[in-house]
Amino acid sequence: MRKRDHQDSCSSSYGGDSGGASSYGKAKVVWEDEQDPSGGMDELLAVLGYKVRSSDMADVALKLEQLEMVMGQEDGASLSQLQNDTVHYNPSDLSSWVQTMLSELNAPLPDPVQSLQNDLDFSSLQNRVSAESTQTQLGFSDDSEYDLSAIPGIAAYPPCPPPPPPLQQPEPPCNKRLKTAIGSSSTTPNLSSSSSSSSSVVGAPESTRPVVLVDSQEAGVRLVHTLMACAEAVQQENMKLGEALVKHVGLLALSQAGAMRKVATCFAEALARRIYKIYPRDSLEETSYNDILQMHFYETCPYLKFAHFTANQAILEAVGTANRVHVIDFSLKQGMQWPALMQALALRPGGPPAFRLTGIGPPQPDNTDALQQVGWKLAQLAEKIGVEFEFRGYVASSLADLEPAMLELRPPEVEAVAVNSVFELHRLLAFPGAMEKVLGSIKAMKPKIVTIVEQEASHNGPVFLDRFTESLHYYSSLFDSLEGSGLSPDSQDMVLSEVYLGRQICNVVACEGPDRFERHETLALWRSRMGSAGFDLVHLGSNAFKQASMLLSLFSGGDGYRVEENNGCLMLGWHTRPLITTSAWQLAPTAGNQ
Amino acid sequence: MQFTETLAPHRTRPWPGLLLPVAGFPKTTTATTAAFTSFGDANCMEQLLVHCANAIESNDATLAQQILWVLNNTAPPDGDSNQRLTCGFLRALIARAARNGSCKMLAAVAASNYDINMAPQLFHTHRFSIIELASFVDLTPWHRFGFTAANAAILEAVEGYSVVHIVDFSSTHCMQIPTLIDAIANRSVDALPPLIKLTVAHVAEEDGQVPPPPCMLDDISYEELGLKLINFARSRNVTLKFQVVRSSYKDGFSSMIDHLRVQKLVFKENPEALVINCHMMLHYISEETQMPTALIHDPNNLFEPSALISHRNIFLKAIRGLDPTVVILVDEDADLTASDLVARLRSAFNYLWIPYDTVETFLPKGSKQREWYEADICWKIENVIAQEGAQRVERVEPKGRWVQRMRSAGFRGVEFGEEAVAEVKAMLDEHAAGWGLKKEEEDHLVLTWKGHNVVFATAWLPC
Repeated sequence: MRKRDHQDSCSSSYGGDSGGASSYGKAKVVWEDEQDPSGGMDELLAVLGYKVRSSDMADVALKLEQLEMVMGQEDGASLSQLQNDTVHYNPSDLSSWVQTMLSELNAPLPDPVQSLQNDLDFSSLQNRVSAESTQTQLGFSDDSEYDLSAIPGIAAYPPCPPPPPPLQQPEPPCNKRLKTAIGSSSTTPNLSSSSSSSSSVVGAPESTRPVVLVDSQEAGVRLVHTLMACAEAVQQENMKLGEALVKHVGLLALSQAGAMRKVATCFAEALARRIYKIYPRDSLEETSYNDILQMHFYETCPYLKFAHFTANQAILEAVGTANRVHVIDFSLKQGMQWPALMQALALRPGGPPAFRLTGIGPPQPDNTDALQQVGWKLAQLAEKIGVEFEFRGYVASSLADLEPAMLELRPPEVEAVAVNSVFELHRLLAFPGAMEKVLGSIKAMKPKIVTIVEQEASHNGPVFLDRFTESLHYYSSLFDSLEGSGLSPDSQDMVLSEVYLGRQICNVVACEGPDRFERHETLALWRSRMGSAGFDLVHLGSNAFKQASMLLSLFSGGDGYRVEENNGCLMLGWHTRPLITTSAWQLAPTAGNQ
Repeated sequence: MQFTETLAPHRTRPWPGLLLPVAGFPKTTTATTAAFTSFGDANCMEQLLVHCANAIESNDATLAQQILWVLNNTAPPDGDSNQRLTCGFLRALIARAARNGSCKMLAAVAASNYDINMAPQLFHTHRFSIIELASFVDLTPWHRFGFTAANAAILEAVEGYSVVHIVDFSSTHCMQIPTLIDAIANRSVDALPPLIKLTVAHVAEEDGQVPPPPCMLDDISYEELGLKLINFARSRNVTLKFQVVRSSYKDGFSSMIDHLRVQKLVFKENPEALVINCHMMLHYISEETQMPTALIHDPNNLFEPSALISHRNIFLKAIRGLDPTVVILVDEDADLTASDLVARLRSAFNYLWIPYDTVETFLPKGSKQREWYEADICWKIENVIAQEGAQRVERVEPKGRWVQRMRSAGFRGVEFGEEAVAEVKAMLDEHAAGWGLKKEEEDHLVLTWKGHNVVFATAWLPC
């Protein structure tokens, strides 16, 4: 259903991409970022399934960038011509192909800013470069590309299910032309799947080199470029251009399979929401659905399980032999984290401690006491396993509303307090002062241990485009790892996990101000924040590392997951990219004495 | 809202933890409970292991992970006896999960030097020198019980024979024999001691590998072993002839049987006492549940399971055909043959707590010997839990089933003499107070620990 929403918002015609050229004036920044080994170039291309040797990557990127620069000087049609080219050289020889193009264009490298203003004569270039696809060229002969009224609705989407009413403009009169361009695979075979790759070899006018039909890998490169161009247009508040590009993204995404398609679709939806200012409602209902979505996410992939195991490990070790253990859970959700800890406490040598759980959660739409229901189930478990149990639920819209005095804490020598937060604290960053207040409250709780699990990402930078780029990389890895879970793509768990992540993407990309609460920050930032708030890092032991690795290796399908230790914190990632981090903290000695 | 109808009824299993065990759940053998110092824990551990096994068997990764996490944190390898026992099972389950096709990354697990809880010697058993093994075996009545009872019965049975042929099917590499030679020598002070012919089954390499169980002897050299025995016999004025026959339990020791048949023809005119001594070895012979799956699943296979070929029965019938003077059958009194993993796990858990419980009485914590001793148990647990098919060789059967097999092969039980009982009792006096001797129906002797059957000893004559 969400998919359909997205397709509504991205339903696009073919005409919109012509403006892309101007946006590439700044694409240099993007590519330069990606050439940086830490910038995720490999990962980006890996997501695309692009087979370029990593040693060649920088070179290819540079050339692509130069090519785009050159094209960027032209009328936007030149870029669209390239993108919709019927034939390309064999993509495995991408580098030399780009080189060829460059030399043929024979244009000097432009100043990115200047390139936006330049309007070189295009005709000669056009004749040389785009002779192969005159038909496509013809499609852009008029000036209506920027005119969104020229964009038809979903008519250009043959594989779509019957759509709900389109979000945007009614079908324009020029629909027919565009339909021809899209609907017929013979005129735009590059939009068909890769199955046709390397099948039909046609002669290239410029050289004797054999060329093959473009495959989905190149379409993938274009897809990412277009996404980035769109985000850049949004950054520059050129919403018309952004709108056109986002529609093109939706179109290009269709040529992709698997994770790439899904992640691009999510980002396209998020961009579209930002462009059209259709923000997701963060209503109470949404919140409770989110809990359910998170449970599917829990089942699908190891991230939340890892979060729970590692946090529980730290708690278990920190409370030692205390007779009373009090866990304050900042986001109880369905309480999935606690049965295992309770069971472990039940079997503690010397007998189980009394276990007290304070669960905090948001108000429920129907005013049901969801927290109490979770608490009741946990109480049943506690009774079965012979653990003295006490539960209290606190409904709070924000953790900042929490006052330690409300929690009826017992003195530290009576009960060992653990504060636990999984994917929760970053939300406070949307409200000035909230984080400081909550960290102060935590200190007042005098916890033995504070366990924090956060997304290992930088989604809270001041610049939209940076956030966009970061999150595109981050969620590409996440979606990629979901693909590797071995679950059927159609399974409910899988689909709803994607919805769960899609909502996060939407929040990162589409929202601003207090509405943007998915403000993920990296461990480095959390460390300095916690450090200056008076917390010392507690190293998660090698035992925790080994256990996490073992549990992961046994049960998470695919061998892409990696547990790594980083300064005493544990990170779970997909291949080389860490995605979530568990850290444990205790009051710094001075803070504890205050 | 569009999610309402799809999501509300599909709350995925929110409570994997609720499947965790119930404290005080009644045990299959209620008597066991008294034996545990902290029986609630043992019950809980068993339940957790059972749930874990179920989760692994049903590919419920979430639940399996949760329970494995709990067990990892509650069953340290250096904990009390129950914790170490549980740890052994936990590792076996992990090994099973790693072998399970559904759990990916098998190679990764195998290669990731799975050293959680720092036990590199996990399923790695120690290999002893002959001297080491002799003193190791003497640490506990586990083997000594069978040795003592068997030797007394053999001594009685071979009275008056001038040639005694002992065929030793034993997992302990003739560790029983010196005492027997000694006893025979002592009994024959006035007369000439009989000639002793000792024939030993040597489980040889197949395809370059020694089949399990792991050989307890380091670089086993039967020549060396034989020489030591011959020298020892000579020091007792006994002549010993030592012979090794390569033979495998996999086919019911058929080459040994063939060898003995030939011997019987050769020495037809010169009657000798034939003693078949089976010490904790026959349970390696394949039994009915170990049928090729193809045969079991073959719809054209109309045989009842009981009608399936049993190498155990074939072996016993072949032995009967040799018309032996006496057959001694000593083995562990447990049932580790169930095809169902959970049943096997429960059964093994309720038996193998005993070696962990007893070790406290004879080996200090941290000693090398204790490490070896427990590694042997771990190996056994792993074999029972993690292995299937031909690789699962620890197929121990309870006494009752062996009694049935012996009877249908044409044997009748004979009583152990008072002398045998007295010697066993004297031997037990050298060990901890928890060990006991029990006489069960038809005068079988049973070694017990805190009242629980451990090892049985039976003696048989052809009907």
